[in-house]
Amino acid sequence: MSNPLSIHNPSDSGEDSKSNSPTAEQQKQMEAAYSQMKRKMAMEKLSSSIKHKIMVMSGKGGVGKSTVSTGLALALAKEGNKVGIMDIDITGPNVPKMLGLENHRLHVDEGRIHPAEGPEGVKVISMAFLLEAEDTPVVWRGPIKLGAIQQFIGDVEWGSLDYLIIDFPPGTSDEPLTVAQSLQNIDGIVIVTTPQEIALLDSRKSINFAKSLKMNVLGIVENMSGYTVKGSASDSEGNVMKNMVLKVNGPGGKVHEVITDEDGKWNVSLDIFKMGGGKKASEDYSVPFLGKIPFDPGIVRSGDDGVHRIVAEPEGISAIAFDEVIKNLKEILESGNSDSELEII
Amino acid sequence: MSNIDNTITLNRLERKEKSMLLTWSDGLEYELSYQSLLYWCPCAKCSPSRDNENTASELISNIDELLFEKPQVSKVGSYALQFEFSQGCNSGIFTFERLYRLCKEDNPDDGKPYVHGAW
Repeated sequence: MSNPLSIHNPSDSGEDSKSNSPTAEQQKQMEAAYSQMKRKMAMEKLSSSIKHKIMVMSGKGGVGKSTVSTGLALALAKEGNKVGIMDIDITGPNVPKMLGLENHRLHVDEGRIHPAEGPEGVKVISMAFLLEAEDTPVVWRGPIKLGAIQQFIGDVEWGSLDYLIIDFPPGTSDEPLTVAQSLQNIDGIVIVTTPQEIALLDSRKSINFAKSLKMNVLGIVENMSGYTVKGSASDSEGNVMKNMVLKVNGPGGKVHEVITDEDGKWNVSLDIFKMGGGKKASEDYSVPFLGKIPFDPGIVRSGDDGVHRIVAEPEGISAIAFDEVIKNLKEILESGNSDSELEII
Repeated sequence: MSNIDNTITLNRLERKEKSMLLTWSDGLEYELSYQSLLYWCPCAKCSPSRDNENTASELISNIDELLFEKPQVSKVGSYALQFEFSQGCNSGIFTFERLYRLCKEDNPDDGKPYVHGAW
């Protein structure tokens, strides 16, 4: 009986040990090196074929990063820009669901992955497209995630784009670091936060992450910022009560006074999670404030239905808020990156 | 110890046979030898070698035996450079801050021993 632990010796099996032809293992290594080189070249090409690359991050989960990423992408695409979204949230990808691409399968042609196309022509790549079912967990350690991210960058046929929005999982770990290392000329980071202090504290980590990697912080977006309650006032006989002062009990026992208009209508914005924290963080850290996205229950419904709020209600409060954010974002992008080019001889 | 001012950038890197000339935006010019660069490699394998005298001198003698050629230089994001030599360690990612401190002849590790996982 042969020893199962013995080291394989080609001469034992009659193979020519002096042969110059590569072994199967060597062949495999050469192929891996070749595909790695091809990917690296594709990554370099990508840097020039995409005008603006924007990373969307937050220090904390549940603040609405994907909502903001998809909102930014759609708002930019609505203006006629060519836009792509790279959903780097490997273990919890939800961009496709928000854009109604839930059951889409990716098309691969000659080793190149073609992204899915969502509303307004937004190109989307996500781990969700590769999962058998939406409840399939992705249980991967860092190095495997790293490989997948490099594939998303190097093996995807993005074509030329005006904007690539990169949506990350929460935190400052493997995923943003891999993208920051693999993709050249990233314009910077948009940090999404909600107004409460715990979220702001974690956002500061994202700001410092950007500083460590010498990346620009393009600005902070405050999501879930105020909830607008609307109503109309009439007396017991149904007569419109105009110019009436009403008192509305808000969160934390705060009483808001509102005045009805000529039609008896009124509205008030309630600070469900406080307000203004994103702006304060931007001032504390001297980074731009891009704007506030109001708390809009329609965002949740539309995310579940796969029809984004901006698509379903293009003139709604969320769409208006995103238009304001991208206006500010574009101003910052146009003001340019002052980084000087390194000359290597 | 001097932390790099965020406004200071590396403008030029000229590779020579045994060293490279680094020119910084604040006017600092420094010729950094490849031997010195490799000694201060921040990778997880080289860094612990600098923690005690025996392994540090072993690291130096290993580097001394290398035949240096002009390395390939690639940018890592916008914060670091990576060098690919025909021999020796190619794993280290040198942040611009680390390179600047080497040009200032500072200890880029602040004299602290290597802690795995700390960046």
